[in-house]
Amino acid sequence: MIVAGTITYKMLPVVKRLYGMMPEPKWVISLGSCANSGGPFRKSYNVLPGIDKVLPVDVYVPGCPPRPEALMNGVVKLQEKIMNEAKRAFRSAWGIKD
Amino acid sequence: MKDHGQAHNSPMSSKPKENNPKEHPKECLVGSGKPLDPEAIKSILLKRFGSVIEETQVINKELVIWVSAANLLEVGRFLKDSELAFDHPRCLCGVDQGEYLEVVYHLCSISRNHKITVKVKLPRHMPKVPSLYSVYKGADWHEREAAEMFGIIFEGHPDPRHLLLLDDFQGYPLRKDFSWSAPE
Amino acid sequence: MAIKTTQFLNMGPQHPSTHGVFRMMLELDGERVVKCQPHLGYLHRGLEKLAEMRTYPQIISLTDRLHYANAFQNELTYCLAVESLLGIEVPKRAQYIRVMLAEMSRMQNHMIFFGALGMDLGALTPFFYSFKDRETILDFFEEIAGARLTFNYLRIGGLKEDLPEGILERIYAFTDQVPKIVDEYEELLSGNEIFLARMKGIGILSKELAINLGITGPILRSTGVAYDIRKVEPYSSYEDFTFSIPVGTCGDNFDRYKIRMKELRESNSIVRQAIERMPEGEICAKVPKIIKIDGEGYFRTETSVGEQGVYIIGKGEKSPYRIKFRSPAFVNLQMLQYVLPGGLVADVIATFSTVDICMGEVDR
Repeated sequence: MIVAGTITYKMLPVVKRLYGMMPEPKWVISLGSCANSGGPFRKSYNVLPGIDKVLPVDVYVPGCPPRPEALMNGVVKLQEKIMNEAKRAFRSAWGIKD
Repeated sequence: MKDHGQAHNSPMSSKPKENNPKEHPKECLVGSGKPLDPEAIKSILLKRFGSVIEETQVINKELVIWVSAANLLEVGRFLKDSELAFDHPRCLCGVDQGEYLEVVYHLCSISRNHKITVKVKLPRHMPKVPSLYSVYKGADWHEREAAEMFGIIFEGHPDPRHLLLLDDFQGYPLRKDFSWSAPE
Repeated sequence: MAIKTTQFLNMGPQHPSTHGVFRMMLELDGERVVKCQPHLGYLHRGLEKLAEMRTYPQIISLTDRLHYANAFQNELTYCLAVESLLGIEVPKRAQYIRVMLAEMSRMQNHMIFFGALGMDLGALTPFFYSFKDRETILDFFEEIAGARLTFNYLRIGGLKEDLPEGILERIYAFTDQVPKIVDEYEELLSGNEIFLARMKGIGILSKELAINLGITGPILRSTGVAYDIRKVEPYSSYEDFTFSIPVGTCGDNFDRYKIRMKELRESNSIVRQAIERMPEGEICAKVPKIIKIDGEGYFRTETSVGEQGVYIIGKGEKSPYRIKFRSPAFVNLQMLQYVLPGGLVADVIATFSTVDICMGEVDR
């Protein structure tokens, strides 16, 4: 799931429900500085300072707004992370030491 | 091609007229009347309402009048229906002036191309003002926003729920005494 | 005895066609919409409260994020508001560059409208065509201002820095191709039978209701009212340019679409005029180091969506006492409650697409 843009307290229950509706295995990309940390609106009364306060985030893509190339890089990084996770899970299942 | 008849038979649509956006239509409202300068508008209003208009000022070549909440509807209807023709509501916002709250209405006229600002002062402990929805439908969402941001009660508004904030949000964010804990 | 019941359909905040986080509760009688209730606020970031904590020059980067698809026009409105309250005269070169950038911003916004409209109705090709051409304009913006969408390039009194060398020739060469580009767009959609059936006679808005609601911009012009703030109250040297205002006749979806296509051509002609007559000179006026405003004023400009207004109340401090952003999309969206009932569910998306909103501006 790509969480893009500012997360407000009104939108938060919707995001949580969408995350719950996703089937396993699931990963989260946090896109943009607003989703990473609240961005320029961090001090606002209605903005959540980062989606990682609520959901487990795998890749953070910075930028306000992020360039298209940054998003593509983020997706590629997620692919590498998934591949590494798969390799680690395989090795630990077969008792192969790193 | 099968006629997508439902679109044409729906009560909302009339028979589609020929669209030619390059030509200006014959009755084109803009500028059909003469704009009045602020002094002329002020004299018309004072002649009609007298002391109901509590205060007037010309700021940035635009007339600003102060009206009490009880007289707002009457003044609003006159501004819209009379020769002044203020038919276009531009903006409506609340202001927290410290000792009192204020609602500011910006109106303009498409046909006569002049503008006016109407302000209403409200006491902080009981900020009630009649809703201008019956005069200008465009006041609808602006009033809902002012109500949730400042706690102003617009009497007669058809749907006074929260518009932008959560339904159970506590407090009035744009008031000066609203406090919240912001993260570092 | 048959009991007539209606059902509710929630077009939730998460929807591919709602142009952002917007929610509509539709009450349906079969396929017909009986009532439409929009729910906003999913992107409400409290910009007006945040602006009260910032100094006047710092608010420019906040105004960028109102309608993030045409940030130049929002910055322009705010800068003009502050300059009019301070009585600052902006140099002519800066005014012409601002006009050029605002019109290029309008062009790329209408390209997004075209692409998104096609996509919402099920045609994917217009999206690729328009976004490819939009990339050229965004490349120009990146060369001039350093960013593609949110620039922070205008300053109170003028601009941050002058244009890079040689860019005016390249923009002029691009404007040579724009008429052919718009012809291509019209070839894709305007004559298509399915498109016409979904747009003509749908979503009709009457003139009186539009004026009473406070609607401005292409939607008001589609009902037959030739009201454009660039002509009625010219700002930033718009009186030096010749351009016409396209006006519709019956206020349906097709009129709103045609007007925006015509505006693309008109904006292109304004950009060409600005480049042909670009004066030399300063790009920023002398402005006090610390800006304090004592007074109030409402200033408005014509953005691609409608009348963008900024109402500033200052009490002699470095930050505004109260700042209100009158966003055109917020006001224009009210028309849905009056236009959608009586139509079909399938027409909801078509009508909503022609309103051309951006949720950052609606919710602020």
